Order: sequence, then structure tokens, then C-alpha cells
Amino acid sequence: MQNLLLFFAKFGSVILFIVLEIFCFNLIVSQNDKQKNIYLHSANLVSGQINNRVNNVKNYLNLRKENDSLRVENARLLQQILNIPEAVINNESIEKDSNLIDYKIIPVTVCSKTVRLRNNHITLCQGSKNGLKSGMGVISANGVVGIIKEVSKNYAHVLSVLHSQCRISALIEDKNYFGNLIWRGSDIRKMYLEAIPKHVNISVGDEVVTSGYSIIFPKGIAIGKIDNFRIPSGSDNYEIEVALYNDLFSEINLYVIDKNKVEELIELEAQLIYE
Amino acid sequence: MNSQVFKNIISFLIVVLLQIIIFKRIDLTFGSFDFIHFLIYPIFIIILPLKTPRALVISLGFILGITVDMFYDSPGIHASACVFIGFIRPYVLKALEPYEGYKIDHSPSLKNMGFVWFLPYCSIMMGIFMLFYFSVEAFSFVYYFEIFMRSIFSFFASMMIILIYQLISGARS
Repeated sequence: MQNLLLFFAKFGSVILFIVLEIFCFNLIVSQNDKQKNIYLHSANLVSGQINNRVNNVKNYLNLRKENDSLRVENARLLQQILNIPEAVINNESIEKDSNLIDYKIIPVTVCSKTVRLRNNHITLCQGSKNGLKSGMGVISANGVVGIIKEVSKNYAHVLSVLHSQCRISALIEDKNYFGNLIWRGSDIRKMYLEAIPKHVNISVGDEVVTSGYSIIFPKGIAIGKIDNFRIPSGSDNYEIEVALYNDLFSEINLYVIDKNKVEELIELEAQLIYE
Repeated sequence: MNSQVFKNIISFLIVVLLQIIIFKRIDLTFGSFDFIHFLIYPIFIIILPLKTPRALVISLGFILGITVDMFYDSPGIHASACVFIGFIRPYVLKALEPYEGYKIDHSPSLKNMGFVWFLPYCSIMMGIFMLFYFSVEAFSFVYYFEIFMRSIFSFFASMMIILIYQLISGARS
């Protein structure tokens, strides 16, 4: 017994150090698991509050710039409404049957975000109260921003596209070949498009849009344009550098895409996997 | 004794608030050159009083790190780096022990120990912290170039702020 006490007196701090480090690494590794959810939900209550306060001041300072971009956005939407063919407007059944509305847009604001880490996240000031659910896509006026990972009552946690685990199905417009859009760190204005076979004729300046093959983003949201491409030796696929349209540094007003009947689709796909 | 505990609680709050309100939001990016991150909060661990028990230093490191982690949305990353420098602090102190030894009531701050002693001490601690933090953040040594560049540039940026912070807090008390 005395030996045991002596042992602890001598090596207690070393043991404490090892235990705490193991605990920390466990936290890091299990970032996407249950522990992380619990942690984020309780943490968001506190840190979300403070971030909220700071952002209130920051939002005020940015009002003029934000106002300008909102005006541009509004103009674009108005233009779209004006461009809808008259037949669609006259067809009353579309307005009455809400099942035909495929995507609902929920405007949200950013509470806090990181952009310069290896794995970046965004916290939204809206949560399940406003109709957000995990798995919904987040876009800005200029392109794709991320995917909602966790939702609490008042806040939502978004996996940014600037995250090493984020894959977005993207398409080269007019060519109809699609691949995965990934981020490799360092430059926040550049992502890489993978798995485009090398026989496709592409050129610098081609537009890259979302493919619509996932259930998260609808087809045709502009992401960026091809900045540079090359074929790595021994590969059958291009390595394409895409310059993003949006600047995640400055985006504050975001939109969440709520796809109708998404549960039905997930159920169907789950059945396919099990069979 | 109590006044010292109180002083350290205040310094904990100041350091954490400075980090999350000001330094988390400073971005110095020039194109793809984004290696500068300001991490000033380890100064709390660095200047804890010399007689603080070792286990307490490590525990405080964990609490400090996990608090900062809450605001960086990165559970465990800052905490592991803080626990690590809390663990190696006695070894660094021992290696740098002056000829006549330490005064047991002192804390190893700029004001108490002088610039010539404090600069290498703080540099060693911050250097180790930066390397550990950015390695854990990348979580793989594939990105060794980025880890190295980020550590170096962030080290100089953070050291500058820490020295200014130490000069101000030394002049105040």
C-alpha cells in the first residue's frame, strides 16, 4: 500500500499527463462521433452566445457592403421570376400542389467560422427551430458553402467545403462529365476536381456546376471555373484546378436548401444498399 | 496566497478572451501564403508560479486548451498541445535554472526574471507548442512543409504579441 502511494507521489503527474493526452486524442479522432455531438451541443450554447454578441457588432460595421450584395442578389432573383415561362405561371396546379416544389430556401446567417485551418467549420445562428436539419446543403449567392452536420435548437454546425472530408459531386457544364470536388488545404479560393477522364475536351474557363446527383444540392449551382488542368503521368484522369466564385472569408448571408421528400429518397437508397 | 490564485484566474480570463475575441479573428493572408496564426494563450501556462504543483500545471493546461477548443470548434487539439507544454515545463525550467536558483515565490515572467532569461525560456516553450499544435492539427506528417512554415511564422507573430503583453502586464502591476 505504501509502495503504491509512493509510486503515485513520484509518477502521478506523468500518469496524469498520459491520461489527459489519451483523452485529448480520443476527442480528436472521434470528432465525427457521438462524443463530438454532445460536446458541440453544450459548447455551442456558450460559445455561440459570445460569438453572437461579437458578430452583432461586426455585422453592423459591414452593413453597407452587405446591403450592396443583397441588392445584387435580389436583382438576380427578380430577373429569374421574370424569366419563368408564362405557361408555368398560368398553370395553377403547380402553386396549389406543394409537392411539386422541389427545393425550399431558408436564409441563414453565420455566427462564427474558421477558414484557415486544415479542417474548417461554420456555425450558423439558426437551428432546428428554423427548420434546419442535418444533411442539408448550404450555399451563398456565389456558390456552394458546405453541408449541415449537426443541429441544436438555436445553432447549426456546418462542414465547410474547405474540409478534408468534404466531397461535392460536380459537373463541367456543357460536357456532362462529373467528378468529385475536393479541397487540399492552403488556398481557400481553389478546389480540385477529380475523376474526369482524359479523353474529354476541356479548356480553361469552362464553368463547373453542381451535378444534382447527390440529394444535397440541386443541379446547376455555379461553383467556379477551370483555372488550370493537367494529366498526372500514369493517370487516366485529369487533375483540374477550379477557381471558386465565392470567397468564404466574407460571406455572411447564406441559404440552406431544404429538399422536399428527402426521407423517401434516403429510404429507397438504403434499400438498394442492403439488397 | 489567495491574491496569487485570484491574479491567475484573472490572467486566465484575459488571455482566453484576447485569444477568442481578437486573435482568432486576425487574418494575415497574402494569396496562398496563410501561415500566420496568432496563438497567445499558452503564456498563461508559461508564467504560472514556480511552486505550482506539477499535476496542477498539467490540469490547468487541459482546462485552458479545452476552453479555447470550444471556440475553435476543434475538441482536443488545443488541449493536447497545452497539456504537453504543461508536462515539459519543469524540464525546461530545470535546464534554464540560473546559477543561484529560483526564488520559490516568483513566477517565471518577464518582469521577475529579466529579458535575457525570459526570451529563451518563452521561445523554447512557444516553439514546442507551435510544432505540437500544428502537427496535431494536420494529424499527419504528410503536410510537413505546411506544419513547418505555419509553426515558424506563427511563432514569430505570437512571440511579438506575447512580449508586448508581458511588458504591459509587468508595467501595470
